[in-house]
Amino acid sequence: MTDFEVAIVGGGHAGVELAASLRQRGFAGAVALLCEDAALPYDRPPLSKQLLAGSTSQDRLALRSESFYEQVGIDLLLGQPAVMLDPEGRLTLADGRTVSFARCVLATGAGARRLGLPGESLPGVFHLRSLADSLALRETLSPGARLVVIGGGFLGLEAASAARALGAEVTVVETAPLLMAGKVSKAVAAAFADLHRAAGIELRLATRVSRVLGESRAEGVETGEGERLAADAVLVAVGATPREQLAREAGLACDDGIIVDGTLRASRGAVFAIGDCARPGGQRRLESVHTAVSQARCLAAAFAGATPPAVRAPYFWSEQQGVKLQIAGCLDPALASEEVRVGEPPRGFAVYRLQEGRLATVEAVGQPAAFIRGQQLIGRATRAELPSST
Amino acid sequence: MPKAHFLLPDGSSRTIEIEEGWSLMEGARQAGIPGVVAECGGGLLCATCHVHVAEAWSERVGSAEGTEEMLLELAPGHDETSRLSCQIVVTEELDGLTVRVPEEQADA
Repeated sequence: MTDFEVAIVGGGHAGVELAASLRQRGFAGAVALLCEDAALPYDRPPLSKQLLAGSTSQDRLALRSESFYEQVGIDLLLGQPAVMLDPEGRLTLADGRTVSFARCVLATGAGARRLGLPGESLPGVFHLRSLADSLALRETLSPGARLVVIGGGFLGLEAASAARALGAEVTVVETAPLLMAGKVSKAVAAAFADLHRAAGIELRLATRVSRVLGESRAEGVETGEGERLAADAVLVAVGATPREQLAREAGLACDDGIIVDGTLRASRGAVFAIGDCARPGGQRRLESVHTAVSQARCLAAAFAGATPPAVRAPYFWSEQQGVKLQIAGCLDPALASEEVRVGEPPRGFAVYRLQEGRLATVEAVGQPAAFIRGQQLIGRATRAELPSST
Repeated sequence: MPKAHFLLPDGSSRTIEIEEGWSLMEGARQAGIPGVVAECGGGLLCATCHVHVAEAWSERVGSAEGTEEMLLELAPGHDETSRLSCQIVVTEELDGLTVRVPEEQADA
């Protein structure tokens, strides 16, 4: 007899949504949610935004209360990373315990990418993925403290905004000549560069960091040109890598994510993968709350023998300098695209990108309603059918 | 702690307690009220925490304005009683608040 019908590894949005959704659909078998983090599973996007800026508190970020898990009968194991997976039905936990399962779902998420710079492991160098990371970084952000952010992507810029709001002196160093390179249009990148500069953040674009300075603690960074930027704290925000070690060691196929088929099943055994760690065959891996939640709901429906809900196009959001940025759809890098801008940068405009004559992506800056309208037009609208005002 | 009642699409109802100062969405999310999806976590970005406020409470809760109103216009099943639950701050004054979860959202 197995311990669990479904053992879920990972307590992010994907894992929690799967557990809750199974119960909502009337799934009666034993369900375990194994979490590496000791905190109750929480909402991660605010870690670089409201939590870092101090406008919300840790207790408000829990995705479900402790009593919810008890009431619906989910075995929640906190501070218990799984260290070994036997795809034929067994997981080994960090404390040496083993649990058997009929089905295992890997929802292990993604971890901060390391640059491998000299000095990157010094105290005072931060990465930002967990609640503990966010709280530790916030400790250093007193007024006048100097923060260097390595990486001008979504996470780095959100953290830079929060740090600036707390009164820190912030410099962002980015290797590309544009912010959020490859993720947004030039118009959006330029608008946010203006907003960050206006807020007093120094942007060093087309600049590489060669090492972190300091003997016993980070004191700054040195650029590729040999310039030294002094800092009290350094945040490395250069993207994430899928947490696939457990799967790899178990012999499951992985290639920038755990490879899964159309039913979210991995290459061996009764093992599935969802969320940031999963890569559906032939597609790119996405880091998106919406995708994680959608996959969780589809899998819950399949396990419960129900019809899966319809899946909408993926979307992403960010918030920097108090301005919301929302992006829906994905560009095919192999195809040319044309751009249509509606509205005036930097605070209220939308950029529509078309490929092969149809709307492929929408970027809305400070325009949530334009975003939702645009989202419904993806894959359908021609240039003439785009909204002419926000 | 103030209480809130949620009427669910399957005809059942649930009553939960919510900390003062939290949003109705935050309380509903932690309690696992089905249909209050709250994908964006309260950022006034999506419309997946849409609820209908019972008539007796509409005046005290107030109506949607600005961005919230625009987002609600795009929410399935919206009407004049619609609000985004992330924009309703729970206070003692709202103790006993009753809202209905839209059917369209239950399986979103």
